[in-house]
Amino acid sequence: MTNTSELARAYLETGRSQIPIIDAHTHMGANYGTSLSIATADEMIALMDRENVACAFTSPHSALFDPSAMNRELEDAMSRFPGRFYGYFTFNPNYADRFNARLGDILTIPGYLGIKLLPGYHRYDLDGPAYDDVLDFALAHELPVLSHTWGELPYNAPKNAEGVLKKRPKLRLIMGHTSPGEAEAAITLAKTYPNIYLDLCDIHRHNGIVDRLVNAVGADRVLFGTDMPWYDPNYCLGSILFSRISDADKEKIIYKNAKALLDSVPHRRKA
Amino acid sequence: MRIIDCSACIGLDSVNRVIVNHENYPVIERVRQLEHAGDLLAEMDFAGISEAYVWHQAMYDTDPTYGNAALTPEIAGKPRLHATWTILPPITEADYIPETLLPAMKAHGVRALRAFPQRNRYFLDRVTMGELLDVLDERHIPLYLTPMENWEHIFAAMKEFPNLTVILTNYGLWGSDRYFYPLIRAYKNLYIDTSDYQVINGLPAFVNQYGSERLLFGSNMPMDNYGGPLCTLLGAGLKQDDLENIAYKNIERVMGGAAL
Repeated sequence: MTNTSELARAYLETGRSQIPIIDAHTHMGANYGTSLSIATADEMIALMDRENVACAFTSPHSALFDPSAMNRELEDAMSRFPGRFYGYFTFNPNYADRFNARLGDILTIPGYLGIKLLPGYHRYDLDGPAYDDVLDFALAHELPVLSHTWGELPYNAPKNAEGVLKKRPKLRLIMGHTSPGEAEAAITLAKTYPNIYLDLCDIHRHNGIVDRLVNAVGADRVLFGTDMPWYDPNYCLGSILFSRISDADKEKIIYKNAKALLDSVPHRRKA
Repeated sequence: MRIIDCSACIGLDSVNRVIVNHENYPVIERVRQLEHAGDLLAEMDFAGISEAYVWHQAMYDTDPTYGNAALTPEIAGKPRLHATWTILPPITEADYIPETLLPAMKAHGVRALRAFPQRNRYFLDRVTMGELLDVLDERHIPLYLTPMENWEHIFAAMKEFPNLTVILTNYGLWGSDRYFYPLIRAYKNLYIDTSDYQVINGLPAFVNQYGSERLLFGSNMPMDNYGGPLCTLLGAGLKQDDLENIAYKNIERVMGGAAL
């Protein structure tokens, strides 16, 4: 093997990451599209222990797809596993009044980190007016917003993200999946707006993608993400360990960037 | 431990590159392609991969016969790379009449074939392909199939040719156990390339239910990189025997069983 990464070599010898992982893009619970042998919070924790995942930033499927459930499953998981699950408050723009009424929970319920938007699945433009209140709230409280982004599709293409950022250039926006199909547009946005993060979830698997993102925007704004429990964290880890970037940059992506993001959220600093 | 990649691709995709998210859901995104065999060997060396079964993108983008011919000089003199060819209906393309195809495969060291029936506009059924698929069945010659457009043609083909040796590849990253498990249970000569088998706990759950003999390590290069499938396999907590089966023993057995 000509890969000189000590992190990669150690993984091949032990089958486990030698540094802790923070997974900045996860979900929880069963989902319509796939069979998952691990899905509950308890099952995820057991797998995270095996694979050295220190903590996960998460938004359960129940919050994403069942408007009646709101974010209760998340709040229960954060309560039962403090320090292991941090929450993105899912906001469904089709029920904006209902979700806007609970935004204050983010600042008072322990474990909340930021906000999760899923425009493509909710079939509502990321830069549409129903998102104004929640995005303004995020901006005011410096909360990271993880939005699903996907290239060449309606609702959450990079042009929709740009619409949001033109109004709120300091918004801390994590571009979920880094807009597959338009990754170059996501890179361009990240060069323009300094508070954009590029999420490796799903897109990491393609040959050369990790190198491309790091070479374009630097390693400080690239985040480890997996969609867990959809996918096994070991796959994303392997995509990073076998990229052509330095071990120092790998460590940033695997752990340090997400830790810094977590520690920088003002309401968490006060807690 | 030796690791053999059951499916990697060289050559340039005309759009760099159509990537399968899941059936009927292509994404076009730029990846680091492997134009020539030497590029693939460099990637294999970087990740410690011993050998690979290779196809050429021109088989899909341009034409199967054109792509098959493009692959031959690329891998000549490179014993770590093994050719796979793409077939067409013998009724319209005489190169694929078994009496012609099999000697050509033997002469070029080709032990496995691929089919893209939707792309090439034919049905992978007895009416169209019976004379060739019956021979592949009798001689245990593996046929790579992809559900990148749909799964129905794979289920239909397996119903008509239940003993055919088939390797499922390039199925996208969404978990596909609701397709894999019924096929594995029903057809004893069907195998799965692990390249995109990244569903959570996927490999341990599969091995627990069906054993490790039906999984073949693969990369699907360059749509996937080597690190993902490699670390998924080595971090799965499998017993050494199971690891070795998936890493190289199964593919050696499957390819060794092909009677040319």
